[in-house]
Amino acid sequence: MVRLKNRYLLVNILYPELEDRKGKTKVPDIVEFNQPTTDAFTAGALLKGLKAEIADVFGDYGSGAISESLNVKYLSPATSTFILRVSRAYYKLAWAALSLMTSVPVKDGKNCVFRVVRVSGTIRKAEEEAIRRARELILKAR
Amino acid sequence: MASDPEDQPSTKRKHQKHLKGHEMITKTIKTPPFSYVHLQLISDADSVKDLDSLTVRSHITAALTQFLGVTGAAISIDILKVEGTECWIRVPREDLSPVVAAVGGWVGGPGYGTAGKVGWKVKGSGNWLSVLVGGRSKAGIWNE
Repeated sequence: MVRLKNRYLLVNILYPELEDRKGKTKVPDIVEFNQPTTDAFTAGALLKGLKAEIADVFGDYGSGAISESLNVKYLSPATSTFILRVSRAYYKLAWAALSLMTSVPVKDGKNCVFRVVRVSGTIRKAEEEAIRRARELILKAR
Repeated sequence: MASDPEDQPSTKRKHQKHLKGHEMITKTIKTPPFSYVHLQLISDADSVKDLDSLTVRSHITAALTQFLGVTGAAISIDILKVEGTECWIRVPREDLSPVVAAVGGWVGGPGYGTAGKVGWKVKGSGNWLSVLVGGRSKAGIWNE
């Protein structure tokens, strides 16, 4: 049986537009950079937004290439992290579309940057990397 | 000329050396920069008006945008010649397959300037324009 190979993309959502928080308590910049995402950001919303972006940038060819395999494996709005599964042949297509998305795909979504931090063939390594980065972030924010 | 077994070895060798000709410089072009496509607009309506460059440009852009999105529309297409309902275009070599696929599968509905549906027929494509143009006359030989 021919095995269908996938790639798992670990993606962070970053918010580089640092607002001028007058009067409110000063939050370290790194925490504001990695702030949590709104709860309206669900796996469905992410898939819908990403598929629309791929259809826009890569047309029917792109939509057909990834439609079968594109799936959100893990999503945490609180840590603004998600793991995406894509087929091995077309993961760069999904990566490019993510890079071109400029705001969170919900109604009145904030401007943000989707940054792919790890590509791996198994989901386990992607999970381990997510845990490692979360730990590092806590240390940095201290 | 086939080698003559009765000939003495020295004359045979001289003969072959003379026949071989002088190779001064050779160059093999494996990756020409551009590829060429010969297209014809066909329609299920009675007649298609003669094409002009703008119509060709808009039809091709529509085909590429539908199949390949923004990256398709960004492919540089040069329209070399428009004649009647046929046109010749030039594309970068690595984009030849996507362009032929996009253009071949496109159907333009009413509203594209003609009554019925229109589409492109790919009459030929390749790396060398001279071969493409030369092959035109071949198509009509067997049609009486």
